[in-house]
Amino acid sequence: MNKANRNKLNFAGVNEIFYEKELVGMIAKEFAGKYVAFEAIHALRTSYKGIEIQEVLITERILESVASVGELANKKYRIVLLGIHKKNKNHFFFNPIDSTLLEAGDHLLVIGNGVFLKEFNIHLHQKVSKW
Amino acid sequence: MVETHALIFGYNDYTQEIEKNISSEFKTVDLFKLNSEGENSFDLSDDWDDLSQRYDLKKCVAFCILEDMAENIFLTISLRDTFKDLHIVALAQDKETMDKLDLAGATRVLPSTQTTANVIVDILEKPLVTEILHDILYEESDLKIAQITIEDHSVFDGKYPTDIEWSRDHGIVIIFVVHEDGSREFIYSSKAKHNLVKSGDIFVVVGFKEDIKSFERLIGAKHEK
Repeated sequence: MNKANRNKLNFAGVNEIFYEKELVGMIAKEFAGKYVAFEAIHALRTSYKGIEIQEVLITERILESVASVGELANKKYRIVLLGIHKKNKNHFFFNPIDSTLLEAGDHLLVIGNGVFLKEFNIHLHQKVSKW
Repeated sequence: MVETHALIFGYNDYTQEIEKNISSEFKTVDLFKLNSEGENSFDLSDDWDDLSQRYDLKKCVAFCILEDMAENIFLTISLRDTFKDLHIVALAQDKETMDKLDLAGATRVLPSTQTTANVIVDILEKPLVTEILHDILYEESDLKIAQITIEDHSVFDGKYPTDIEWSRDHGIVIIFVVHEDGSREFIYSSKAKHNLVKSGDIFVVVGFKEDIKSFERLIGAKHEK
């Protein structure tokens, strides 16, 4: 797709542009190198052995019981926390430290078994008294 | 990787995109035009003598990307028939062609329609995941995924993978443990959890370049791409 057409579509107000040939070119790289990265990410995208990657939106309800990364208890649910996307900074923070504060609108990127991910979600939304 | 030369058969819009993406992965990327003149031309009745003289085909990846699917299948059959060990990646525009290219002997099939559909679904369902994984794979991000073999397990003597504070102590996140047969287990799976860390274990890790390098120095290993 030439630049002029991209500009026209952007000007027309689209949010995403899909150009099939560009996507195929990117996927071709998968067969040319970075085998490990591609295979690992492919495994996550296709729920290899039930393991998937999900994004969890931090809501006000979650914040009533969980204030920081250290309070997520993700390990208890056998969940790997890859990072957190902070809404106010529009930036992804890989491997955040335990003291990182959670805010409404943030997203956690978590990896785990689908069943455990569901339980983790339920756990986050349960109101737990801190007293 | 073993392959050092990329041979792209077909000259169209796909050619430009594929060449752009793979050029950093190979020593050379050569384009071959169907039914044209010159050294880098071919026709479907080719006996490929010229190709075998110019390249060590065990170190080549052939991309068959003719837009006419019947011609692309024929090209794949012809290359596979002549070169048993050649790594062939072939473009398919529908499910039927995918199956035919598999039968024709393609090592991997690039499904154009399915690829587009998958990307659209990913972006709609998991926009942040898609964006971050895309950055790790395709952009010059400092965040990388690597496969690391433990050469010196003494630093983890007597510990299970889940006992170790990978993220706090080493700045990396372990996702998978890879077994000798190449199969992967999630770090928190029962199998991975109950095996002590030992030399020869392979971990798939995510981390910043520098943290991965530091970890490699600690365990005396090098990561693979």
